[in-house]
Amino acid sequence: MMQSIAITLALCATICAAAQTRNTPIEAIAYVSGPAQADGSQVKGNVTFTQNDCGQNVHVRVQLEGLKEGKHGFHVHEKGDLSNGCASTGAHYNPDKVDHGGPDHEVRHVGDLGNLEVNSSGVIDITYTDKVISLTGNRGIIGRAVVVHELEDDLGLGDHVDSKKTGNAGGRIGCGVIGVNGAPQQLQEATAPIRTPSARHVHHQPPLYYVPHEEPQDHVVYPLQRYPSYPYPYPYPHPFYL
Amino acid sequence: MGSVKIEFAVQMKKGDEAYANTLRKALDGLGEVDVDIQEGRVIVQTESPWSEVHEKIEATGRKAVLSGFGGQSAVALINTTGSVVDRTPVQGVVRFTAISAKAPGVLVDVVVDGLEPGLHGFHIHESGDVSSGCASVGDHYNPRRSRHGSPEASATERHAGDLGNIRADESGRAKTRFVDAELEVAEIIGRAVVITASADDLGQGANDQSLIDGNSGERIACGIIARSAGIMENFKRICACDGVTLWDERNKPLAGKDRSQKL
Repeated sequence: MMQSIAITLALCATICAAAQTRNTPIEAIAYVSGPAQADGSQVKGNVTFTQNDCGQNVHVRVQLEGLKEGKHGFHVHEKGDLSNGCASTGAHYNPDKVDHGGPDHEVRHVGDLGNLEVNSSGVIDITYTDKVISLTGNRGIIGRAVVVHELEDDLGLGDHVDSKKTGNAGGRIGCGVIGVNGAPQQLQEATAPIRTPSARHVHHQPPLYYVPHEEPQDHVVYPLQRYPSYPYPYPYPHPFYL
Repeated sequence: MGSVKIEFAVQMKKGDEAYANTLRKALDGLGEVDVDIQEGRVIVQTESPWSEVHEKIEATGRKAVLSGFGGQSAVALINTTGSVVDRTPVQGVVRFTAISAKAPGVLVDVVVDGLEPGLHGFHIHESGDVSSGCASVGDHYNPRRSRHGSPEASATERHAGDLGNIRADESGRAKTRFVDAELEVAEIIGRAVVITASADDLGQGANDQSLIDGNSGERIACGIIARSAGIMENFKRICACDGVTLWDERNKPLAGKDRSQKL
């Protein structure tokens, strides 16, 4: 056990050192989408993950639209391979082979990210911090898949037979593969508006950085958003830049 | 050319020795074949592209699903938007596997349909962000900050992500299998594969652009390189959330109402 921890730590350190990313946030993004529904809505948006350094907590920002009001189970699956759909993605990412749980439970799959609670607008833009997932090393979540479910994840507390395995969250309404995101320096360049807004259209520029909450362990430096985020969680033809 | 073990789940009855023999005959000449009639599992050690082995198994009239590819492996689903759920005119699968646990070197197995006949540039790009489609995946993956070049060139004379060209035949299908000696699976996971409209001149063109992207033109299709199962790593046969079986997956969308089999 100690050996495997040592190996994991060593790996983590090597990867960080190799990329010279010490104290540089590591970022990942999953572009989540689902099929168009009968009423014309479609689940889509971005889930971005930021980890300031190896071994630190991961900040998750979920920006989705087209969801039905209510809670939706939200998980990371072991593989990002969707070549044969759900079967090839494997189960919830669970390297320790333990029971399904909620994100704050002591016993949980690494990939158990709980529920997304959506209001009547169908748009969600939340940021929270997860202490278990990581973006680096062998147990990193890059290259795996995120899945948004139709129903609420019971966090392993339900009485359904699948509760301890999957949280019984019903069918899937959207999924995406977690990819490496560009370095923050490159993000900054990309954020420059394509056309400088004219004097008539002077508007509030999105803040360079934002701090979602004031937890001491975080010192979070969020990268620039590449595009105006609210209320559209994905690059939308934005009126400011037209 | 590295030979690699590919695992298929094949729809067969438990202990169906007669079918196992049919299968061994069908796969004769491709390489070493190991049929597990209890589990319905077939492992082929082969140098042929996976799609050929798959076609030969399905030609026996049974459904087969690739369930493991080599050791440490990765897969990218290719389409014009890069989003895994979309069905677009260009569709394809690129599989990667490490050829040895100790040395670098990645075997790349490509099948892409719907391309214009001819050569197309084929590169790994540095990021796996498809939020704006293939445009947002960044430049060629280039950790050494070197010039663009041919995949045969030395490490300092090429981008690590330069995989040269793939050739689409008259039907629009590009099918190839090659080994790249420089890459490693771990470093490309989460990045993206991009196919371009024109041929890559491998850095031999006369202009500056040739040293950047080989004049390979517009990005027409891409996909994120995702982790996938090596052989004997994934025994999942049914999707727990909605009851779709391994055999029905190919006719079902990845998400949404049409998937559900539960009432």
